[in-house]
Amino acid sequence: MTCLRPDRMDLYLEGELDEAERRELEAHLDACPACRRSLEDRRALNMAVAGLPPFDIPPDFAATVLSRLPAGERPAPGWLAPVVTGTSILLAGLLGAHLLTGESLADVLVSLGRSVIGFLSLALPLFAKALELARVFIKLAGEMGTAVLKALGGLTSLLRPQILSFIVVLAIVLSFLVLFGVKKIVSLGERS
Amino acid sequence: MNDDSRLVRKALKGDRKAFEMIILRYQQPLVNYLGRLTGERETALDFAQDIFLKAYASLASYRPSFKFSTWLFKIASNHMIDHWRKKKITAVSLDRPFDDDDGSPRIQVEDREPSVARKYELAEVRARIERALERIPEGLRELFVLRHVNEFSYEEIADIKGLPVGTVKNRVFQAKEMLRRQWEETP
Repeated sequence: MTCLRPDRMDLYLEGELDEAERRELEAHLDACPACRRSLEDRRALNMAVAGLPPFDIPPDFAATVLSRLPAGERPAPGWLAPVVTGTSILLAGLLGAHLLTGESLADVLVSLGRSVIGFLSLALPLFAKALELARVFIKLAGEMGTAVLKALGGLTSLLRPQILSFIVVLAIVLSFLVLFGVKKIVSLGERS
Repeated sequence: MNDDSRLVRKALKGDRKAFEMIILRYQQPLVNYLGRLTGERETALDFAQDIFLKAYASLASYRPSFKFSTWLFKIASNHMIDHWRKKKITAVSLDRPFDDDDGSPRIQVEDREPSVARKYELAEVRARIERALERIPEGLRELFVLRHVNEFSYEEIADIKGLPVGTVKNRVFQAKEMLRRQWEETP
């Protein structure tokens, strides 16, 4: 008769074994005094650990923690930091370009708008081609493609709200810049 | 939405009473965890304050789909890891297997010893357990405390520590075997 493994006994005491394992173990215990003794030793150790007294906590503990919180401040909302960071970087970039080139902020914005339009005019056809390739790939891959799409869907749902907020704000800022740049270009065209 | 999530939402709107409720709810398990790991009540209380402050500062990152206790203890666990690192204690790395799958010698378990609990009074047994606990490597001790003092499930511990459930079970078992040995050796 093979005696019980100690780790099985621990899991049994913790209620971590499934029904079949539990019955098998109990059947062995019925027939094996040595394992019964060992199990009782383990049970005693568990009870002794569970019986360790809790640490005393001063009655004013919570008040002390609250007194250390920043006065009058709320916890920062999760989306605030990325939005502030993104906006700061954008403004710093505009200001830096203005100082370096000596051009007015409006001109810098126009240049930026042109760059963005130039980038989009290059990127969009490429993006469309990539989509077409992806479509063909998905068609060829069949079931595998479906699985990949499902995984991507899951990934999107897992994106943290801060990241989503950041992406949305960035998109709004870029749209604004593009519109502003187009408007400026049109007005320059009218003047000339 | 559970009660913890509601309290968090209120705290995020600036309701300090709600955060106080969170503190009152979790101060005891948190201090027990920290106390069993540091072995010092005062240090545990100081750390618990720091951890609640950290939790408050990053409250917005809490996702209601997870258990608040797990999230809070994740912060506490990272705090302890930083503490051990700063103290340059030889902490057993949680990235390194504890003899569970690397072929190195396992703890030899003797299961036929007479019951210690039968020999000693409960108070003395407790004192010996506390002394024995202090002699277990931090990494293993932490897992043992999370399981047997804080009574987290293995799945919750796996979530807190970012380890597979099987690894957590194995290490908690090893910690318990070490504790048994230390218990028998500690005067």
